[in-house]
Amino acid sequence: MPCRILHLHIKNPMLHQTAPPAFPITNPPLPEYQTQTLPNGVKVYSVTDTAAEVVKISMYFNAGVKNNLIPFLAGTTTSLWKQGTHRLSGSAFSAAIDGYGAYLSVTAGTEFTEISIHTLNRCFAEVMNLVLEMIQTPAFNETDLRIDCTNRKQRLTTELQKTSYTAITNFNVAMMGENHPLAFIAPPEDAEKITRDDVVSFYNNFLLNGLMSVLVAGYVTPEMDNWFADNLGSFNTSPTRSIGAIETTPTGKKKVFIPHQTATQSSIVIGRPLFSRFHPDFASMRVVTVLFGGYFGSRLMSNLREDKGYTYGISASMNVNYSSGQLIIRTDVGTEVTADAIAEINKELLRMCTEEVRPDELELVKNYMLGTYLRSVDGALAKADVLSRLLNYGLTTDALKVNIEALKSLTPSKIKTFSEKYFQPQDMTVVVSGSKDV
Amino acid sequence: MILFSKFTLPNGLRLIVHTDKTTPIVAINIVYDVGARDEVYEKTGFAHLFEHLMFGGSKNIPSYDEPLQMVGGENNAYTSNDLTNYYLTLPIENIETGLWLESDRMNELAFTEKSLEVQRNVVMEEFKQRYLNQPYGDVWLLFRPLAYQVHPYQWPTIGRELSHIADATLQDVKDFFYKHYRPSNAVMCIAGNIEADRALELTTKWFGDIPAGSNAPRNLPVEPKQTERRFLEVIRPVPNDMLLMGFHICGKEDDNILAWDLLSDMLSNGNSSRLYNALVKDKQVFSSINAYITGDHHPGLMVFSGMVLPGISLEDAENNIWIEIEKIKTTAIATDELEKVKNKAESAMVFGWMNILSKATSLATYELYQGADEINRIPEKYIKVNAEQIQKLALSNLNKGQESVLYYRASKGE
Repeated sequence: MPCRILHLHIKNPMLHQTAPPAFPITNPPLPEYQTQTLPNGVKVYSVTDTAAEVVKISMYFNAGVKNNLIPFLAGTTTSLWKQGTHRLSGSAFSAAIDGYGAYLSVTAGTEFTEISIHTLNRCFAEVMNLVLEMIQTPAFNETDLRIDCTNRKQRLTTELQKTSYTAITNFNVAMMGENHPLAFIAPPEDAEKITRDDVVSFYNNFLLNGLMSVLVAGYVTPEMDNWFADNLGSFNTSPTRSIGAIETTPTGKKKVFIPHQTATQSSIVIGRPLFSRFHPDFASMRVVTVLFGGYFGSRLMSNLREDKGYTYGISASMNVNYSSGQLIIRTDVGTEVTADAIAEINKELLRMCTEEVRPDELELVKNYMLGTYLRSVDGALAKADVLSRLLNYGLTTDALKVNIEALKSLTPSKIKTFSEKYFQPQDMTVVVSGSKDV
Repeated sequence: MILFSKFTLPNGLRLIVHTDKTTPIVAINIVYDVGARDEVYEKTGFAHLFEHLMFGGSKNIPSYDEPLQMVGGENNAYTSNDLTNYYLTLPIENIETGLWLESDRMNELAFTEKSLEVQRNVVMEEFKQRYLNQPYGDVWLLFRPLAYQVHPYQWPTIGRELSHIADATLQDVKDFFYKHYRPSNAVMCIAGNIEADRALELTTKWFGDIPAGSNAPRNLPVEPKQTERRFLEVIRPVPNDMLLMGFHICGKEDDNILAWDLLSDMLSNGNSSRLYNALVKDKQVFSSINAYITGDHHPGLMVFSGMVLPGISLEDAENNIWIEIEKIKTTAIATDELEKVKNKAESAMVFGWMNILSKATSLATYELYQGADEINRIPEKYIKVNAEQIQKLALSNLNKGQESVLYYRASKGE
């Protein structure tokens, strides 16, 4: 590598006093991808980047926590799925995968279960043949299940001591109702009630025939495309794979307090039900939410952290899925300032409803979000993440165009109108976990 | 292989440039050679508090964040025991805004009472959120002074206690800045769709006239060799017992560090690892167990940490870890097992380079101590690690009388 010592000297004390010219982000690129449709309808999408001979494969199954009829079942099933096959014990299977330097993870998301594999190209076929074996002939060993359940119970007992955990889980109940699969608050002991039959039936009903799509990112080769066609094209896929809406039944409670005797901070969650990913207000409300609490200079951060010093961090975000969604404001604050913090949050909500935002603040948010968009499509892995949140919902990159258009066309008066609709303090549910009720 | 160019400005600022034509954004990463190790025992947490103050405005720019966000940028920073890292990404067209912001605050901070007062509060809330208001949150507050008796690694970056942060004065802030935040104490990496010559030209334009300052000499106490078991037991309102064990090993620049890294992977990386199979699966002693190295600049630690299952005593849990350590020392390590962890290390490294910011961060932090070229030597160095080397390290460092042990016992109730 060249290494030079330079002898330049520039003296210009005025230089720093004015900002360099700023250039607008005019044409943000959309992520490009190829689509292969297999005979059984499974889609294989690929995003190519030839910088390094590695590839990430994500396989999506049409089942997730939304299909939890028994608490913890989706998570338990996906955890067990990778613990051995009819042919290989759990440790032999893991040793085989790890031996190729591959990373395998199986996660039950809200709506989809994802098997993800990071592998070196030179080991692709060997690794994928093992994954295929796992998908089709999992062992679901009883001993492994019992260990998994015991350990899950122990993790949950720890989670329950965290104010941040009890605040968000109780908020979810208030938003969706206590019988909603995304809002279960079951006692940790329930983790141990799951039987092997439960696991097997979850797998048979939702996963075995549930493969929807495959997203490949990295150095994708024709051999890989062939492997997918040869090995996944004949998979049985359920003809009626509708995702289906799950009815939410908010409890209507506006105030919830969860006591934690020894807590030094209160975890606060404030929010309300919103809409699904497909609602026409989604694209604009993304921007309004970021302005309010979605970046370092947001209204909430500027006030509660940078002006008052109440907290290390505060955020507002939208949690939207296929059939429902919520506005969620979250923060952890010192116990003694809990009431003040809630008052300030309400004040900021009200300000959004009563005053138009300054044009320069809006311009900043627009530019910041365009930059965030550019960062989100930096590299094949990042592009694949963005695409997975579109393609599995039946959307295309057109949805990104819609988002960008909504961003560009938003005005202070439109923001006020959206705020009046969604940011009224009296519509919010306030959940506090901590040592002092307010 | 990551290609880069390397320059040094007359004021001592080191610049690394990595050209990547495929990305629309540029990453700028600046590491300052200052961390919690540069604090004194009576005033800890200061390097980290100072990091917060770096966002409170500089000589010509009242707010750091706004101009950056206005051009589509985003930034953050972190403080470790060794160094402080500031990083930002923004559209390449606006690179000069990033350089303007970073050079103005390297030149001179604003130093306001309001900023200090607010950030003291913010950091105290961070202290509570991360260390006090979490089950097991104070584990490292307890464990560091057990493992280190004289070296400043004995306190975490957040500081030993809240009062140290509450007592920080504006004079402390100024002294700290002029002592440590000089170009000669920093490395900058620019990574993105930019040629080396252009990056150098812009760096010279914005940083060239910042006074060099003098590099403060660093005379840190050397941690003496540990020759006795150190033990601490605490009772806390948590649901389950936890065990933490640590052994002194080498620092990050020592060639043995990669062997330690591979050993920790053999022990606990993934479902085929030794500790997982022996102690989570076969014997069911722990619900989860981890072995890892701290990866510090000065000699660091190999740490074992596990959540103990009900009905198993902490003594039993510890004995079981010793049994696994003995196996490393006495049974030959299979070629397959070593190949496995080497393959995993290789793929983890390559996947880590698929993002422009992570490349910039790696280049800047390597350059600070070992030289950025070291990054490209690592794959080969991993290949060279052999089973005997690993066994030898275990035999010399993982023995009774060299361990620091924390029993974190659960009391009843919250």
